[in-house]
Amino acid sequence: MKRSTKIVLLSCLVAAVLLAGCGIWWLVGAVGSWLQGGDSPRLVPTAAEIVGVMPRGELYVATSVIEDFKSEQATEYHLGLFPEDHSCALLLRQKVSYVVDMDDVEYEPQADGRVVVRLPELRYVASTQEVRFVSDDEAFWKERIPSTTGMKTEVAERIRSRFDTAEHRMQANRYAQEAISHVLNAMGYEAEFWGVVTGGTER
Amino acid sequence: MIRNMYLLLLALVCLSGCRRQPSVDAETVLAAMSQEADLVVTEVKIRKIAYYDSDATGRFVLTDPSTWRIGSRVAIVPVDIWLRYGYDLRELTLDAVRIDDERHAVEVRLPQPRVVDSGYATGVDADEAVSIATGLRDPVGHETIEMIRLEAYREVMQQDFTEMVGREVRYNAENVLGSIVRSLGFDHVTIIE
Repeated sequence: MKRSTKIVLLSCLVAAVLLAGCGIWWLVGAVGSWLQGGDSPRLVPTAAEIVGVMPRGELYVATSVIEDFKSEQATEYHLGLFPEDHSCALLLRQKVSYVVDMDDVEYEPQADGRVVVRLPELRYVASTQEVRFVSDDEAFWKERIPSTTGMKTEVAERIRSRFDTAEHRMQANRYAQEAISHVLNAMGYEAEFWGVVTGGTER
Repeated sequence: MIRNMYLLLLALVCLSGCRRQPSVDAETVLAAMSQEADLVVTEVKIRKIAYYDSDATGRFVLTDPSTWRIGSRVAIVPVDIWLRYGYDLRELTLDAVRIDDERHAVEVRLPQPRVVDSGYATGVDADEAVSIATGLRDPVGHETIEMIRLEAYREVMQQDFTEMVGREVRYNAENVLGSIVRSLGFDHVTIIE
């Protein structure tokens, strides 16, 4: 056989192997996609309904965004004999804050342009920004865990324990003092903090 | 010669296995606790019905196997979302506050209201969520439900409700600040925007 013929044949062989590989990969993807949910879901357009507009009076003084997760493992037995391991994880992202309820703030104006302010205990607030559930087998985990509320609660508690610490509360109290002072200063007053706030002037 | 061809074949196989490293989105850096001074005066509660229908939102493409489906998946999940509107008090300057000693009143020019906090309900009410899977499709599980809820939340966040609730926000701001100035001995407060 001529050399050029051999080169052509080998090139064709290489191309055939590559094409076969791509075809197998394509076929696997096609079969898999029949059973899988596919990409991120696009929603059918629907209207958002405003169900309530409520007054609030809170001062957000400190905030952070925290993520945490919880995982689970389980074994499924096919025909009672053949084990298959499964894993899942729930990720929770929350924006967490300390807030001051303005209704509970007490002001005592003094004659010399000072205002004695008593701040209430800071309140912890958490707003969920994102929840994701990832698993190797959606159908299995839907049956195994009918509701993910327990997992979410556990993760939310872990997030709270990371943010709501004595040190953070002290720091947030200082931020609260600064914020209230800023408002009172704009009105021509000087704020003096008593009572609940640590680090303030206490009598 | 044959040895060289084998080497070339091996190299081609290796190259086809090489994948570009997936790029990581530069998402929000999770910061340490940051200082704020945002006065929240109004909360808007929104209910969004997240409606997912794989038949309505997918399309069949002969050359794209990921669009080949045997059956469909439908899910209807109500999502409770809230938006909290308020003002950044750090933008409140001395020029923005005017004291009227004669009328015992305070005039305050507030900055534009903005969304200070937002979020959606963490839990899913199993009684309210509906899901249907037909054909060879997997049942709609937690993964899909959470993706649907997140998508619904993001859709709501792209909308601007300020015009609808602006008057209510200003009215509530007047009440909150009014309470403060009355504690200081003034009669009332007027909000200017």
